[in-house]
Amino acid sequence: MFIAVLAGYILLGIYEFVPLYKEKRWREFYVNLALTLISFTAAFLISVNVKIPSPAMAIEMIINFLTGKQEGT
Amino acid sequence: MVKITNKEAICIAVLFLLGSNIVIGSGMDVQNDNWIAGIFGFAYFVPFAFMYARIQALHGGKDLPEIANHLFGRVFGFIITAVYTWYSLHVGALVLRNFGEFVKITTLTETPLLVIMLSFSVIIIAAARLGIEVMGRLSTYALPLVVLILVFMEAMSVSQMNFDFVKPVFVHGFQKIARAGFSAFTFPFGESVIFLGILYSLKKRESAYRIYMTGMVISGIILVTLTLMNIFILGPVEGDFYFPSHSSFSRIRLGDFLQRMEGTISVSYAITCFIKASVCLFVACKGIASVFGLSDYRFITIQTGLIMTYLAFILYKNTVEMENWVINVYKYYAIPFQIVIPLLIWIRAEFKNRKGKRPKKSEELEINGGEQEEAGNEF
Repeated sequence: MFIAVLAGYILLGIYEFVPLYKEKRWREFYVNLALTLISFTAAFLISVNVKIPSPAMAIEMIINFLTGKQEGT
Repeated sequence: MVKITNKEAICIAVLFLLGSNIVIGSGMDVQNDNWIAGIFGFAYFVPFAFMYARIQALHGGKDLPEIANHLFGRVFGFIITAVYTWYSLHVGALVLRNFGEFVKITTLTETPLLVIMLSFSVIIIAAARLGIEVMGRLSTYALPLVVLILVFMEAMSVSQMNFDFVKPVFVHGFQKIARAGFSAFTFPFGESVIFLGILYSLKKRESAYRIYMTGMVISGIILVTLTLMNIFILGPVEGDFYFPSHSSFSRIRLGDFLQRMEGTISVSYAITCFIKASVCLFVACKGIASVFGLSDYRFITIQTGLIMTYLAFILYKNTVEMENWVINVYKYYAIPFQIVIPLLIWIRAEFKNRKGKRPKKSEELEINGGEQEEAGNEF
């Protein structure tokens, strides 16, 4: 699974980064690189079955705290 | 600059507002009074629709990040843009997850959820990359198809309906229904605040009112009639179904000729989810591009689309958790994005607009002096 993710991201990298590098669009290049790192990390963790904490749970906890509700009610 | 016509914008607005609701329904926790909750949600939304449209009308040709920067300066503008970028990304992920769960439960039961969502996100990314003009043109073809399917299916299902299921009306009490109406306001009507990210491309700035009103009325009528149809067919247990419209469409039977028509709602659902998720991704990409000062948002659509898909995947463990979150948490979570921040933007925009219209003291003196000179010359 991880090999498939790696292969997919290498292909995407060639498709996206080579034109940006040739055109010397550095700002776009670095922002895209940062986003690619985030997305690759998430894809890698999912592919090796690591549980990524959900933001939905954090949001629920904050809202329960603010509204004074008990969890699960 | 890319421009869309009023007709295209209205079609996008209707499909956007229908979104996940044509299958999930609105209101959700007042069983046979869900349709009244839908009407309440619609009524709550009217003043906010005017407010959103007013914000856009005051800043014709500007998108949400530009409006925020213009009104609040660089720092607060940056924060507001970042907040709405997150909200668009999150709503897009919710739509994608809803669709993924729907497909997994009803059709592709053995296929992994991530594969379903990744396949769907490919066309969403393509649409967002091609831009709002393409989405607009697509919507003008897709909306009649969706409406036709829904009207045809509603007409076909009349023989399965039991009109007594809607009684007793108002059994849950005014307060509870009004509260459920607030859920209907936040999901889906209030989500149209994301629309502020695309209405900059309108040809006329005053058209924002027309688009919000027409989109809201058409989608409101469709959603309320669909909820009523679900109640007539499924009865008070309508709220117990994850996808009530799918269940009620599957009961349509006209002899041996027309049966198992739930595939039609799946097609409509795919279209509405596609448009909604594409708009969300488009606005999120524009927001990221604005935050980092990029010249074009297109360079980041693929990676942002992938992040949206992974976010959709990690949000919930299962369908039950998703439904509980949408019913119990989302209505509170949406308040700052749909009510508080737009209200602040609107108040600030009105002040700035009045200030801009009022002539400065030096200008007043010049005008008065000029008038006096003219009067002196006449004598």
